[in-house]
Amino acid sequence: MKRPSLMQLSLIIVLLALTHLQLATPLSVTEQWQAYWQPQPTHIEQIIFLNADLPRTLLAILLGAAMALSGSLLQQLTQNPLASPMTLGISAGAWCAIVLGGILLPQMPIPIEWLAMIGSLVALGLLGTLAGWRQLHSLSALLAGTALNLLLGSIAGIAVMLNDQYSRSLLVWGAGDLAQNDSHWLSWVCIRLLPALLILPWLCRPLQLLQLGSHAAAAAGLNVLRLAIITSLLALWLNGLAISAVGLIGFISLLAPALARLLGARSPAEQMKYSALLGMMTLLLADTLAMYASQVLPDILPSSAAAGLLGAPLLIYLCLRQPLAEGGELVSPPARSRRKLPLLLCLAVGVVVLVLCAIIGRDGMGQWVWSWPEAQLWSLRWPRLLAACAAGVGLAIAGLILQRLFNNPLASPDLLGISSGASLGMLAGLALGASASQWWFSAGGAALILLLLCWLAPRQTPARLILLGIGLSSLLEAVLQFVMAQGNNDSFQLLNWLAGSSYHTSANQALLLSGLVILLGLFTLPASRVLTLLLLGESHARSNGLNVQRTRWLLLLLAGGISLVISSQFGPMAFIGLVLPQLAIKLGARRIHSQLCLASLLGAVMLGLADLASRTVFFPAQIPVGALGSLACGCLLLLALLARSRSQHA
Amino acid sequence: MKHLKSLLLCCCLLLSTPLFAAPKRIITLSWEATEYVLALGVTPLAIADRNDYQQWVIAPTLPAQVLDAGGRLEPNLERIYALKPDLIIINPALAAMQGNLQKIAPTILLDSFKAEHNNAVAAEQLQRQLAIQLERTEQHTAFMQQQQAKIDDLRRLITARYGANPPPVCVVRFASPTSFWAYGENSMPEAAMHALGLQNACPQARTAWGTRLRKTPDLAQIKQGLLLHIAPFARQAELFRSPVWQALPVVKQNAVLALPPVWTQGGVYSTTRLAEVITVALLSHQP
Repeated sequence: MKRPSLMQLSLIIVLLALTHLQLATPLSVTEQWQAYWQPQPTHIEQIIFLNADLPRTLLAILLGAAMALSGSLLQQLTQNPLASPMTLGISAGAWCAIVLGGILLPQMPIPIEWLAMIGSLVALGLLGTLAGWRQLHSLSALLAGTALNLLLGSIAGIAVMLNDQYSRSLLVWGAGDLAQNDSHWLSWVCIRLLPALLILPWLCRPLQLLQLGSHAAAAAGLNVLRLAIITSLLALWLNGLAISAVGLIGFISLLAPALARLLGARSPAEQMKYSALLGMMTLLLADTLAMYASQVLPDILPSSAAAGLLGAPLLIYLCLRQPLAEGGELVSPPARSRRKLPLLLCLAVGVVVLVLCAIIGRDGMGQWVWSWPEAQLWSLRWPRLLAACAAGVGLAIAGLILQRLFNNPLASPDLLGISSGASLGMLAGLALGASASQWWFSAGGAALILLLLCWLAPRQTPARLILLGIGLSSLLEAVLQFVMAQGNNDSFQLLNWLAGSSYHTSANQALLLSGLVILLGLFTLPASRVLTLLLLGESHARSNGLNVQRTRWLLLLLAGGISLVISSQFGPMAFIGLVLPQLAIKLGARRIHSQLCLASLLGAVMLGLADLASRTVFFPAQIPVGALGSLACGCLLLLALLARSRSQHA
Repeated sequence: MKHLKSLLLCCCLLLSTPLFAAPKRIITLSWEATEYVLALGVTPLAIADRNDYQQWVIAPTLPAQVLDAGGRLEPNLERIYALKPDLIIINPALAAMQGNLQKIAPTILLDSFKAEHNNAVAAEQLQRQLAIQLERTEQHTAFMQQQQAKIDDLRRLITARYGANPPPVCVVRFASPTSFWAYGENSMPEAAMHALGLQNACPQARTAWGTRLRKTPDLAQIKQGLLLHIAPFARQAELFRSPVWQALPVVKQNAVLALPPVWTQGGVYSTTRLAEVITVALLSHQP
């Protein structure tokens, strides 16, 4: 196929822009022309055209370019074909900062673009620490990014839920819609975007050098660190501008550079030019679709959801095709010098903590109480405690299996796409208006994804399966934005579910959940030999008479089954399945059996404590246990990483 | 099915009333139920989202001793248990929790907002139903008479000012400078307008809550009548300076008025309050 020239692409953009305008306004093309050159101040359609429709088209062009360039810069810098502010969790960081800034500091007006910048920087810092700065080209960066997305999303969700009336308009705004009333945001973006673009020509040569690899580039006299700082700051700024102006619109920054590469753009300058043009095209197209749908549908479809619906299938396709380095190790291997682990002592401590979780509470007036609860109070307390503990155990076991299976310490059950399936199912349930039997919908959604995984597992490498999960979670985000954008009561029910709540668990559900987790956990025990063999490498495993293909398939099914059981009840829970196995190894569990035991124990204790905190800390309000658990595990992981880097320096 | 269940439950509760005294310790876990109970002159023990209620619903005023029962989506079961209520009132958002709440105290589900019924009529019926159960039918009758008298007074004021043809009104709440929630068929603001004999200037198709998110340029369709927007709207300046806003017919006719913070998803009390603020706005309007 001959590559379309820049001229041809520009022509398409002009055509798209004209279509976009034509769809927005009832005025004909000649009338539009007249409106521009001989405006009549009394003609309302003309005024709407000049101040709402035209700025919207121009803003779509500008921001499309900004987002695409942001993604292109990040991809060139990290050499990761799937990197983008969305997949690396940077957009989630910016959004989280804007929400927290708006809610916590309403009196101190920090400019919104600076809030976005601070949030993006924090998210990038976290990403680098989590995945390792030298691993940003690999799958690890995407795994860490997805985990960050879930974590930061649930933090923003908690903040929004604690202030629900105030946040309704925040949700509508943040859902990412390009509608305009005047050219305020257009000029706002222009002033901040165009100077930033002037830096781009200076980056082309260094980025070209970087394509040789960072070592070779450094040997050729390039200051790699300086280049990395400038490029990433520029990318974050471009993305932050887009978020500040119109809210979250995710897919453009990933799609446009990918399409540019598909069209054969190789050198940095070419990639940037093509990305920018393709970014304008995709955003215009998505926004045209959004406008059209909003005219046909009873509800408003935000531009971001349209971009997501266009982009997600393409992203999933790219995920299944893209070659990607698998990435290295994180906290493991454990220090060999550790003394033997006193497993019994750990067990005793765990039981004591769990008993404390069961007996501490607050009475009607909010006073702290610690005594054995009465029978009726107990019947309210134990189901959720048990369910939380079972979820912790299950996530820890599933995480351990997956980390061994993929030989990647950042693999975790919430990245398989099963919890996204559960959430999508839940959404379908909400859309169909079923209030009582939502569990069936979420379980059905999760089961569908698990079936898909089982079908794909023998055909695809493990890394691709994880990429598929990441693609699915992005698709989920697109659909979510549509529901959130309505800012109504359904939106809040959904937010609550996404934060992972054990609140609605009945006694039977808790028993069923823990029974299933224990059952699936027992299946893991015979698999432990296999897991040890797999860790030694595939060829070693095969020489020991193991059918690697089938074993992988079975293990995936096992972990997927656990994930299904948990996520259909709780929704997604980030970080828990990722951190606990690592923590168990860090505490000195060396053999797979002791790792399994310790990780499960940690899971039960962690989520037991999270349940206690969710009941009591913000009394009488409650914080969903999943969000608290994720937050606690995320903090633990950061501490572990910081401790490691300190010990390395010492 | 759900309605059948709640109806059955209500019947059981009604039948059991002669056996037990009327409930005194009531916890309401939805704001519309809180309003019904307060309108009947009963002070609930605790309500959900107490602080937000005082900020957004405002009236009927909540007595100071009423406690917070936690969020409306996840009220605190342990606090509810510790308060030993003898009646809990919920709305469909908590339908899945009815079984658990039932363990603590008799729980009734009041489904006030549905596309299938007239929300304004349902609000009166549900409050009457509650009055029977709380043995406060007299208070309910008196309350309804008082509300009707208020509405009649307001109608008279409007007729005195505008004669037989008052201008149509459009009530909105802005979500952002580019979008607003319009209150259409089956919404409480429309019920208030109709009670006052006013027409809705921006009719919307029927939904469960009667609200729908619309775009600012849609306001250009209002050629005559008054645009009333419910305060507070944080980004008002941004909207008001925009040329699109200034070009709207209602803005040019100087027919835009702000309503004080008022709750649009309540019951009879809120509807009367809406009627009051709409009337005040209409009377203060200088064409």
